[in-house]
Amino acid sequence: VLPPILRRLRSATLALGLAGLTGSAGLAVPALASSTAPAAATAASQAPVLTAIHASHHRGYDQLIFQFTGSLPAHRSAHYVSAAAPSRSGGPVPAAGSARLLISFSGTRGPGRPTVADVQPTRRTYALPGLIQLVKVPGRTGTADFSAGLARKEPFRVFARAHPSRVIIDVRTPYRTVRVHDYFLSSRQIAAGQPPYARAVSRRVITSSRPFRALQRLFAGPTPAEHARGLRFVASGATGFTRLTIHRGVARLRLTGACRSDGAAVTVASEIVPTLRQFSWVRWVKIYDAAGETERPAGDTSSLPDCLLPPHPLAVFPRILVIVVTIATALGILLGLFLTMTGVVSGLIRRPNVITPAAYQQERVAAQPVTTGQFEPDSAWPAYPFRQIRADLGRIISATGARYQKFWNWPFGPVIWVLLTPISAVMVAFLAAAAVTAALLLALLALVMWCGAALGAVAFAAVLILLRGTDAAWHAVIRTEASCPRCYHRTARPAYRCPACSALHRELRPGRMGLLARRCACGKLLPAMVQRATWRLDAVCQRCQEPLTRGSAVLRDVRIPIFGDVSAGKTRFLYAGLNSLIQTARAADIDFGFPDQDAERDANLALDLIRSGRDTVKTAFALPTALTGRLGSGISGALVHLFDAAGEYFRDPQWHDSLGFLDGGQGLVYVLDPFSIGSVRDQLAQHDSDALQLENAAAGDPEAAYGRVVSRLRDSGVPAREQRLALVVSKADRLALAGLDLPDESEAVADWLRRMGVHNLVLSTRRDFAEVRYFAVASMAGAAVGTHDPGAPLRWILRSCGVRLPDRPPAAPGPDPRGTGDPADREPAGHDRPADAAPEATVPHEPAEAPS
Amino acid sequence: MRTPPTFVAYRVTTVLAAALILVIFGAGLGGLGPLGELHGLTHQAIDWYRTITGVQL
Repeated sequence: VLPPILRRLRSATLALGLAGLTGSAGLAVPALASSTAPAAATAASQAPVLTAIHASHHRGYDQLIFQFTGSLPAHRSAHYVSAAAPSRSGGPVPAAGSARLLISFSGTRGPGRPTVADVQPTRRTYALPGLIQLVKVPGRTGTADFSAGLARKEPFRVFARAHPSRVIIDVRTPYRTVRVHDYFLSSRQIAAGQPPYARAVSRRVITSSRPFRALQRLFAGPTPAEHARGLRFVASGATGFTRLTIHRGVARLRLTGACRSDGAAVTVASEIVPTLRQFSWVRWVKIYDAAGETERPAGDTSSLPDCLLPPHPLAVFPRILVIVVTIATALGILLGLFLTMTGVVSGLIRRPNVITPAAYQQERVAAQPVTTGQFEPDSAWPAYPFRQIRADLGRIISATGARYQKFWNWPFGPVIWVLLTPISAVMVAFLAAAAVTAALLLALLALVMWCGAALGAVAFAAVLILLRGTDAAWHAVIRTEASCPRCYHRTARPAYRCPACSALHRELRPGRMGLLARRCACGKLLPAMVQRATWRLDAVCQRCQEPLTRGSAVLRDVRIPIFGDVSAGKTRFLYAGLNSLIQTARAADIDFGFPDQDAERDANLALDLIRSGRDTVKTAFALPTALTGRLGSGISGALVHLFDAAGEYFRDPQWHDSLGFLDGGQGLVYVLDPFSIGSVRDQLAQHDSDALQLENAAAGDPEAAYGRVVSRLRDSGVPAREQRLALVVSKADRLALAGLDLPDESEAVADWLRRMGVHNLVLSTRRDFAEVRYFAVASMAGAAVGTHDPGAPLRWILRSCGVRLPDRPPAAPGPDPRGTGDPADREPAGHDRPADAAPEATVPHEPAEAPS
Repeated sequence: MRTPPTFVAYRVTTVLAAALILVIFGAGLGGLGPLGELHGLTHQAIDWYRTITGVQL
């Protein structure tokens, strides 16, 4: 055993020697041939017997070793021969490869004559870069000839070694190689009946012409080790191949020798086809027989010669039956395709089952009956995935099935069809293929539709949560509501009328009718969100269906009920406060307006009275309609509802149930007439008895009037402890005329009330409400004044509800809210009521009626 | 009552999507398109048919 360094030195020396000996393969052969010409070997005492052959690859060369016992052969030679060169026995030199090296051992008579013993098999294949195959050539007695198939003709050298006796042949491999696969049939897989039968083995071949070299190795067969693993090369009689061409993905080759499948299902084609198709540029393989014939010589398809086609396992009649059934199946597939297409056209275009809004509404009512206090679902088109998708699929399936059923109406009875079994079988195959095809296509369509619906549902749900969350957040943060000015019903979402058909949409929000928009039953597209609908549609009350203020449910909603005894000055305070509010807003560049013309007209009439210093008329005995104004602009605005009912409603308990406007107020205003306080009347009687005659003072006890309302709130379950109360002492200017001045500050007013003997009222208000403030207002004044401002209670409540508003009115009386700006139009802050004022001439309300 | 346009759009989209899948599958059996590997199935079927009937498709 040589040390590694010596082995490397030997290899390098050999390579250099080979390189020095030969500049090229063509030139080297004669030189080597001459150098290895038959030479006299040293005679040995024993006859040489060839006992083993070894082949291996080393760096730069393949080495072939013939090992002998006894002496070396007397003559040993090697030289290249052509493929057609005859052997010494006269036959060709058979070895797979592009070059053939004939190796001969011989000797004179006597002990030097070689004998080949126990060298099996006679043909062996190697997976080496250069040496492909070694075949023992039959020769004359006393000689031993071998044919070595090589990948390429390359220089070689022959030399001998003794102890043991060896003849060594080194063949250069000065080329780059790449690994390819050859597919041999596995006898074990075939015996077990388990495809695939072909197994790949690796070969290193020269990089050029890889398909050719892979086939060359294939025809060389498996190596002994691969053979031991059960791999076999099935040649099907072929001895090789020629004319391998590859053009546009089609590989063509012609087999040499015989060609027969012998009835086997696996042939040489089973090895050639995968071996060639491992290359990406080969898609089809056409194999020709030796005569140049193949089944389909043209076209992009693989093709085999007839000699390699498997035999037909069926007899003539079954074959014909299979062919006919196959044709019938193909026709059935076409019929299924046709039936599905017509079913789709019929179900979606010609006779679709359209789920109308009315039908969908009925379905929903049937599924969830409407109970008391609920409304029927809206009449609008549902979103497609919610209902129509099922109707469409059902109609398509039923239309397809109905057409298919017609094909089963056979003209003969079952007995006839039994007698005509072959024809029946064909028909059954035809119809079964149609049914399977239609079922698969309908399943595909259903899958696509439901997948689309599922994806849409995910997106739908995400957007729905987002939109409803936005809606809820808006409602919670801005504190929006829709208040009916007539029936006092409050809701987060009002109903909306379709502008085209006036149909009522009570559930207008993102949902199954649509996310951003819904389509009314009449076809009109409506916005689905309150934020958009409130500016485009007419909102109505969910309960009484009366029109609501534009902007309801989107703008901040503030409700301020005003209550008090009869003739306490509620109406006067309302309009005087409103007048002050308008002036304050205008001075602060805050828009104030009335959302509808009726409200604006009524308000202006009353404001004219206030500004001119005349008396308002007695409030009609009818449930009040809120006076609604819009404070601010855009989405930051607020709707302010002021409720003023006749005092008689608060006196008589039988009317308490109808005072629903008290329930939803963010802040209540209790108007107290100071002239109804006994001590005040006593003091005034001492000073100015005319003042009492001038005033139409409230006759009732102020504490009693207050107590009735608070009791009513408690009885209705209204949490008064969470509300604010503005206790307004009205007619402060009148009181001043009579010689009693009222303070401005809240606590001072409360102290004044205590001094006047209504301390129980002060205590009750603080006990009953979350927050109470006391105001003294000059509700008889026509414009805002520095003291006793009638707008102060309203400002306090509005500011408490988050409405942006200055804390104080403008320093000087502002311009006329109607914008005339003419000082003559403005009534100075007078305290006198014009003597010629005739309330009946300027009555904005209906005449008062007595309570029934 | 006129069918809403969204219904028509959804129907057309789903039918076209199903048809597209069908075409891609069919092309794949013919060795074309992204499902071209299905061509092997076609070959196997044709080989089987040729084996038992002798008819070359």
